[in-house]
Amino acid sequence: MTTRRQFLTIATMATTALGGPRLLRAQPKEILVGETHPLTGGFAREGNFGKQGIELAVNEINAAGGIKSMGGARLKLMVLDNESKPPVAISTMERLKDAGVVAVLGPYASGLAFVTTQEAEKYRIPHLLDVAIADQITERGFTYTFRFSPTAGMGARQTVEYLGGLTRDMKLPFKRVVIIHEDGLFGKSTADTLQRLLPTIGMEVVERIPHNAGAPSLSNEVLKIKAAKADVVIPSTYYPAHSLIIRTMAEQRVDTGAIVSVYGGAGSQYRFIKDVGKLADHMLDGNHWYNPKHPRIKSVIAAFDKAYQQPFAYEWMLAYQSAWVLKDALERAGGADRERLRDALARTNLKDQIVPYPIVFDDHGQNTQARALLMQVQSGTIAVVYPSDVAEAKAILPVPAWEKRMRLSRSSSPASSTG
Amino acid sequence: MVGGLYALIALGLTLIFGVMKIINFAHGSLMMLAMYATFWLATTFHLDPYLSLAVTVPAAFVFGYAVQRGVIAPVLNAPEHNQLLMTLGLALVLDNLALVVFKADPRTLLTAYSQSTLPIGPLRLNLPRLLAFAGAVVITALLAVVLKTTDIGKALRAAAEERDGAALVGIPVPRVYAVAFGLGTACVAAAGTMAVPFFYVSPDVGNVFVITAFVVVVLGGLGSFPGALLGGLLVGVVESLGGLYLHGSLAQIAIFALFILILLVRPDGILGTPHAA
Amino acid sequence: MLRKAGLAALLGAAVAAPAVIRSEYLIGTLILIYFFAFVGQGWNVLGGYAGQFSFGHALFFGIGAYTSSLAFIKWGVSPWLGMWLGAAVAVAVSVVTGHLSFRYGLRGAYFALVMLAFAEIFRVAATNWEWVGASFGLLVPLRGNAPMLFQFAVKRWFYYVILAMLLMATAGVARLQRSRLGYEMVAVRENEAAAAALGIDAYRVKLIAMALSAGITALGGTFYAQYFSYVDPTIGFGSANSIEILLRPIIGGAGTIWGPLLGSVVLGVLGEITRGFVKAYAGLHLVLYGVILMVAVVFLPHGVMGLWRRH
Repeated sequence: MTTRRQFLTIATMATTALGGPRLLRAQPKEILVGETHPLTGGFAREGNFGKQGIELAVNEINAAGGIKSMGGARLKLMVLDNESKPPVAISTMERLKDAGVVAVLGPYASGLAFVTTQEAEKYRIPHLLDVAIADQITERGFTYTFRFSPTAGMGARQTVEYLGGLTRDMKLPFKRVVIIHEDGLFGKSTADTLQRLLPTIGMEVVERIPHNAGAPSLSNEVLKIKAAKADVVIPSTYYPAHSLIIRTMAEQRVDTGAIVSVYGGAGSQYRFIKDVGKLADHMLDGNHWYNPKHPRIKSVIAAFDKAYQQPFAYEWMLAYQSAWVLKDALERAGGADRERLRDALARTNLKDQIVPYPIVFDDHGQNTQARALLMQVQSGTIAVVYPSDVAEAKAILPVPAWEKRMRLSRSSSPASSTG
Repeated sequence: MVGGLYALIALGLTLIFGVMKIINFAHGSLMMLAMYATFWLATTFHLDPYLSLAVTVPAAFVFGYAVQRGVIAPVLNAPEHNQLLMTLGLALVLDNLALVVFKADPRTLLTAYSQSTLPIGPLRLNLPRLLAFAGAVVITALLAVVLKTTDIGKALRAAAEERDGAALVGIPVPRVYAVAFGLGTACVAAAGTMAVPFFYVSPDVGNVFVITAFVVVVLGGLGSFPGALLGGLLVGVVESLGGLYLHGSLAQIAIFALFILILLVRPDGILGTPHAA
Repeated sequence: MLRKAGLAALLGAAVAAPAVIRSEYLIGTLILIYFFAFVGQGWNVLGGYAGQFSFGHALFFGIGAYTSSLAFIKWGVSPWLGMWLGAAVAVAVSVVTGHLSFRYGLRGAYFALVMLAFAEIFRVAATNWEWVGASFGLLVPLRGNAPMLFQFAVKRWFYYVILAMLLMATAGVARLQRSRLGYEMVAVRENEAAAAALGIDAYRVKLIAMALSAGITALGGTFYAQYFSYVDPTIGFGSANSIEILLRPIIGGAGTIWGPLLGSVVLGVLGEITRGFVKAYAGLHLVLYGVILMVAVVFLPHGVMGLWRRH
């Protein structure tokens, strides 16, 4: 166990090594906050979003006077790239420990969080997760891991509930469901959960179509959807395959009542809309999202867009939120001490955040009040359509036939390309 | 219909192997480069992907020629595994450079005809896929004519058959090798360019096609051109039919098992002429 | 004499290192260097000494990692025992793949490709098999500080474990090099026909090399699973892993005792330096690995070892 004195020695050594005499002169004290994100490798895009979100939040926090309970101490980030690889993620945690960070934010992906949470536990460093959705992360009995966002299981349960509510409210006779899922961890586990839950809202999975996430063509899979006469199609896969499924469905004119995903690879993603244009319209997705009724959300999105010229993406929003959760705990801890911070985090009770749920942690560090929302792409924007306390638009269901949509769009859209 | 592309990629692979006896691990990386080039030409200069063939294919030839001269030539006489390692090193460099420059994010090029389909009976055939198939067949036919009739074609075949003999009769073997690598690169670049209108681009996209192309090449017999063509079509058909009966990953296992089986039992492929191991 | 003194000094430094080094990061980096040297040594027996270049050694690595983890999760078997189970399974599998490959006379590139395909089959199978965790893989349940279960709260113990493993593997390979079997392996590598003419059963020699190699690599797999307490099909059986395994012995010097360690030190140090200095292009160290590999293939056909060992 690191005592306070040891910790301070390490922290002093580290800050001296890092900044030299310049830091000694800096007036308001600095609190070193660690961050491990995949800035390169397979999750580079999401990891960089996370980095930007935290950066934005920390700039706002410092500009507003830092941590007031600590005499206006500024937050100082130490950002390390874990290259989307677990072994490198471990080494980033070691370096953050050596540098004496008070807490670690990150690391976006579940596969990385499995190792970073374990290291955090070993070194007794509070670790506040941003996205990493695998349920198991907060089921390993760790006491230094905190996750305020919904897990994979929670998101799936809530999306099914929303879908049930939506079809009941709109009196839609949806019965037959086809799940098309990639046969990896993400696709399969979501498909399993959905298959178990859908009967509770009177729907039945008539076919499960597994596919290889890297397949160059999904025509056969889509033809199977057609043959199954599905009312609802649920793609549960990563971005490239998700995109390919939608494009092939359009191409083959496979019409269904609804296309819904849970944490879908291309769901609730502005880049998908940029990529495929009108084809993205009407897609439903249960996912992390902001509370559209929150008074501050518009200005936060505008600030992000101004700083990074990027459209909204929940990856950065959750990372942004995580920095604010940390700020709140630091205020209450009143000192840059890992143990006190851990205890303060455990007692977090935040309401009225930009995420559409209160933030409190259970004994496992999971926020059981977290929730996903149901969004639909409507004429190129992503709108919350359920549940009704946060909905900003009415769902458009059943989805109009492709033939009709194509005719409408053909007249209006010339060749377009995106980056 | 992806079979046509497999055939074209496999053709490049088998051309390089047939002439130089080198298995090119960087083949997928070369395809990826061509796809990014196409994507970039389309987004920056609004050049249609099919028109950009006129740029990417010659550029790929030059690039392949230079790569062979600079990178492969020094290890031509080294043990076989050193040549493998060389192409592996090249693949590592190209893939990770692409990752640094282009980022991991998959990108899609949407053209006016990306979603166009030709209704044939109950099926709708995607136009870009159809064009890619047709393009692959045309390029293969062209290449076959070049190899059969032109001097350089004859030199290529001679060097493939008997390297020392070819050198004796005055064929500039090093240059012929570079031409072979250039042509192989041009083939895979053409395939890459024609895939852009219906497929995403990412730094590891080459693997999607090239792993299958390896199977195709082995199936058709390493170094055999008709073999590559037949193998490509066969794998294409098996994959689409297999997709109907076997789901995703099982089909993959079946393909790898087939690959091992053929390597073990008939390493010269179904059309290859057996020669002493 | 000098050589022995030098080695003793190095060993002393390695043993004393954790007492002197206070940085967890440095210890972690050393653990990874030793670890890659260890699995590289495994590859080296088959690839370096017997001259059979496998591009699918992740197959054995994955078997080691999965077997010990499964034995622990399903039956509570300590990974100390599980690692030998893993090695046994890997040896059994290697005998099958080796028999098929060598009986049918696969060599060079064909052998490399077949091994790659075998590893891919295991990867896809592991991805689809629920009992082994399918694509999620396996999380080794943590029991805090439990030395009997190959779990340590303090990183230093992992350091000593992998150091000991590396020492044993290196000593074993040193003995092998001087043994009759070692000579036979080299003979087969240099010229199989000539070796056969001398009465060496090339098939048998290659098969034994494969089995030894598979066993060592599998032990490394168990270490990985215990150190990271997480393994999934791509980490275990993926082709990227196969490439990681073979890079170090080749760059250090395939078919030499110290090649794997040397290669691991070179790549480890270079990797950390590039990470430190070119932050903006953090993926660049992999580009560098590729360049080093290419340069080594052309200019150092016997690896870094070849620099001071005349051939």
